[in-house]
Amino acid sequence: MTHSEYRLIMKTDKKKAQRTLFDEYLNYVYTIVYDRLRSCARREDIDECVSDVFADVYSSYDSEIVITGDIKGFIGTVAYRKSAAYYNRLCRSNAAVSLYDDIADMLPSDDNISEIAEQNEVRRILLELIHSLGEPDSTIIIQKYFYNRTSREIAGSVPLSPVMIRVRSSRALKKLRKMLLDADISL
Amino acid sequence: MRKNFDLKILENADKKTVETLSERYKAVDDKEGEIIFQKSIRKYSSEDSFDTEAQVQGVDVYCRPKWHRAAQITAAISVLLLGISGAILTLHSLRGIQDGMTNVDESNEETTTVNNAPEQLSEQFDMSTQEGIYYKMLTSVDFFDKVSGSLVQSKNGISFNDVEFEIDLNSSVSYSHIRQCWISSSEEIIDGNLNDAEIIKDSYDTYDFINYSDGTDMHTYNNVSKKHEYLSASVKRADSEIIPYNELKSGNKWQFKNDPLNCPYADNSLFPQVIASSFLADYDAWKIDGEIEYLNRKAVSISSTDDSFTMLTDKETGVLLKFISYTGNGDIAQFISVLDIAFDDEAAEVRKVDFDESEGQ
Repeated sequence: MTHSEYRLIMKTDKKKAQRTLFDEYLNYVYTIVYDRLRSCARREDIDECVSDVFADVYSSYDSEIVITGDIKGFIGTVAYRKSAAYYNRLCRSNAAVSLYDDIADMLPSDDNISEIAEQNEVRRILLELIHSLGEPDSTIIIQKYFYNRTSREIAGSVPLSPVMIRVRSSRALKKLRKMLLDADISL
Repeated sequence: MRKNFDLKILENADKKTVETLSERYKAVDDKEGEIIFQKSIRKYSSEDSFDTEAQVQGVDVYCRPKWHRAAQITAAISVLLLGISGAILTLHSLRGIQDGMTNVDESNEETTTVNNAPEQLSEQFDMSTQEGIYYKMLTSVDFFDKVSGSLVQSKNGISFNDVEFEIDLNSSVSYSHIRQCWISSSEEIIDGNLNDAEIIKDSYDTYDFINYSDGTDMHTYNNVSKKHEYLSASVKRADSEIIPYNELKSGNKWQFKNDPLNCPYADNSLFPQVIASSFLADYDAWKIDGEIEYLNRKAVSISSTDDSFTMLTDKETGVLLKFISYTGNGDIAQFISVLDIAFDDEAAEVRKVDFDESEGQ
């Protein structure tokens, strides 16, 4: 979807435009927000933040502000900024120590660029190893160990019973641990 | 000791990692997604989306009504007067219901406060109060054993599902027939005038399937492609623990119950825990408008204080008979409308589906 496509649908059916945009970018926005707030916010706070991002995006199209560029980039920027604001409010008050003051500080500095590059490479390899587990194991691992969802919750997105999810999760984790060991990666 | 596995390394990740994660893995299920969407629309409609203070304070926090304090003091005095023996009996009976057991002591009938028979459970929920309505909707599946009927629902006001259902909770057997169609007028669909509605694109021929739980497994059968698929194991009623009223009132954080309906396209009506927790947790945001007769049943009419939704809830079971949410412009955002419904003895038997025969057709 592009800005002009969104505006075109909005002219005829605002509700449909908002729904279409939401459906297309929910996963992207939720991942950004969750990734930022995972360590300190509750699930409810994350949902609030995601809904704020979309409310802001809808409102932006009502204003006279000219929005240009890639719509995904625009939505991503709103999501990063909003989650950074939430982080400052929620996580600072929890006495959590943040290495980053705001989203601008997430850019790598000259001092630790090699460390960050190395960490990014580890993440890339890790994601590929998880991906190589195949479905539904890779989804189960991400849902359980990144999104911290229970087997019952995962059963909503994977067509397996909670019991089967627990069994598969255990086997997949064992396999992943071995792969990480072989790749000399320690988490 | 082995360290607990955690993908913490993916936190605060670079954009490429975040994009890969979002492209490959679903971050949020449909139900939670729908709640977030409704929240975003409400925030957008109320034009406070740029008020960052409001955003952070917008978390739904359950505020216990003030009369709870008086009720708690009264309850505490009562417990003291009853003495140790009464307390033991009460605790014993409460433990019984938690284990899903009927626990009636004939010699001390007056001390048995709970029983898992649907009609007796139902009496504990005062449907003239917001709390009674809210809690009953969160636990509606505890108040009936069988249900059958039909409903229409739309999550977007653009297309709707026409759902026919027959469910027996005790045997975990269910049948539902789902068809989807594109529409131009939500009003006609909500009122059940399916034949009069202007159908933009009749997709009955392309989106038509049966979901069936045989008591052990969930199956789906596509009436168009004639394809049969195994979906998952059926959820048993025993897996959906009955939550006593006093526990609901305890103020502990609400956890969704397991859904024992095995009927995903009718669950938002028959077991409206997601809608209730999303729209009714804040008692200041809605009001009771009164009691009406609807589909030959007693129903409680509810509406939001900001005109963003209306509901009709079955008084006896907490089932959502009608639900309409509106956008800021007053357009219908989503709706559920039960067209006919029957419970327990009046409910139709669940028809049996033989997939071998269906596939052969």
